[in-house]
Amino acid sequence: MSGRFLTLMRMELRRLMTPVGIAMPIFMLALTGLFAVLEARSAKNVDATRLLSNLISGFTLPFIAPLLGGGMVAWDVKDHWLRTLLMRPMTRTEYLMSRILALYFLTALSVVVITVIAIVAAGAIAEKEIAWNLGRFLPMLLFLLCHGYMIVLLMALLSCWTPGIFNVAMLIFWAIASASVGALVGSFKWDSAILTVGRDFLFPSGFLDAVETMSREGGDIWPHLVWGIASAFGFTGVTIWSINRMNVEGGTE
Amino acid sequence: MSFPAISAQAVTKTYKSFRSSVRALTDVSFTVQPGEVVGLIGPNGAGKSTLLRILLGYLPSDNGASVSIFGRLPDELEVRSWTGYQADSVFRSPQIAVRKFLEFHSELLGSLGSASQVDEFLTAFTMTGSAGRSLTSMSKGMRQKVELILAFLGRPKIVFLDEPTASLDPPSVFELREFLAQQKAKGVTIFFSSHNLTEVENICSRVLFINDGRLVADYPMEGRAQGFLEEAFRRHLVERRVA
Repeated sequence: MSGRFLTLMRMELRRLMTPVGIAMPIFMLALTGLFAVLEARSAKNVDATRLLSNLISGFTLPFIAPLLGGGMVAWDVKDHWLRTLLMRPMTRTEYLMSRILALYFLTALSVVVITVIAIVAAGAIAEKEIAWNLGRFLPMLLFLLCHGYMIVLLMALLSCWTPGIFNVAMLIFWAIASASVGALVGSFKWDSAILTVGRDFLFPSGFLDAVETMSREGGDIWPHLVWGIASAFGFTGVTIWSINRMNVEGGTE
Repeated sequence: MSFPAISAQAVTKTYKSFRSSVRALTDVSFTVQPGEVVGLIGPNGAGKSTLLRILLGYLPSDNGASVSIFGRLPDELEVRSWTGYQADSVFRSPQIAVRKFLEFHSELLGSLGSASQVDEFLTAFTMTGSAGRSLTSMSKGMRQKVELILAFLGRPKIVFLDEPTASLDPPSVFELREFLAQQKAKGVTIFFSSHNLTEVENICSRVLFINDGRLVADYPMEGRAQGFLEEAFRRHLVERRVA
């Protein structure tokens, strides 16, 4: 990484330190902790992997990334930040990757801290033993953080093409639509090989599928991971292409 | 081999949308030699900002045009390390203070930038006392001064200014005039777009007049009487109405 890229990363992190950027992780910590305690009270112990696959992957991560990074590129164009940067010997790809990595760093850090504190707090408040099962917990956390990168990446891609925080709405619509279609295929067309394979391409959720597979303690995670890695590279490429198509003084040409 | 600071040949720009297309520039050609201070004037919507953006490499021109800055394409990374730009639109952020913002840009310029230069320019624009304030807490004029400082950070060979005096109070205009004279003496090429004809007359050695997307006049300013540009402007507007 060049010194210029690190300078830009530092500035992007500074720009994320808004009152919202600080309040949101705290707010999500409070909510996640509350749900973790409620779940722990009705269980015989605090199962860290179950909390990770249900609560963190289904609630905390999908909320925190869009709350921190909604409209990222679109707003950078609108408030002239991107144009300001491109006055300097800086490529659009460098800007994009610094923006994505800074947001991802904050998201990943928040998720890790929230996860650990919520689990420990649930054990302490509910007075239940914590089953960490680190052999499964740590890989699941890693895959979940990879899925976090996918969410940040997709927000960046969509915000290259849509104004304001419309990218968040599109991402939510995309996720819900693909989950609905996937459920329909699973329920009614489960015997169709083409539709079953096609379902995997509705949304790049390979890393999340790997987490779910691990939480069920059954099935092969490798096909999911390969799909996750392929989609991460593929969508990174599409996002870089998109940012290089943009008119920095007003939107996509 | 020496290249002109700016070479624009047959620059045409059409903004296309689904419903219509608008021709913003038509066959604009000119050159600017190193060290010249050239003004760009014209009525609103004449195509001044579009031309500036094309010269800066932010916008592509239509096929067939040729634009170069010191013999290089304007969107080359190396060109950006010695090109300054003061835009008419500014970035604001409550998280970033003026000095931090300027130092950040200085760092992006690598070895060309320096903290001492930031201090020097803050002093030249009497902004030392405001260096700790956030970018959102500044008045429009103060913010414009930050943008002007940004344009001259590093060691630019050419600087593009878009309405540099638009929000400045008279003392700041005097500061800017003095500052530009210093930069001119250092050999910096300055190309600026403005509606302030008096400033253009005071500062520029040459003025380009653009109207309806066409370059209609190229005036050397040496020996011109005060008020020449206003007369020329009025004459072009009358010709435009007649046409």
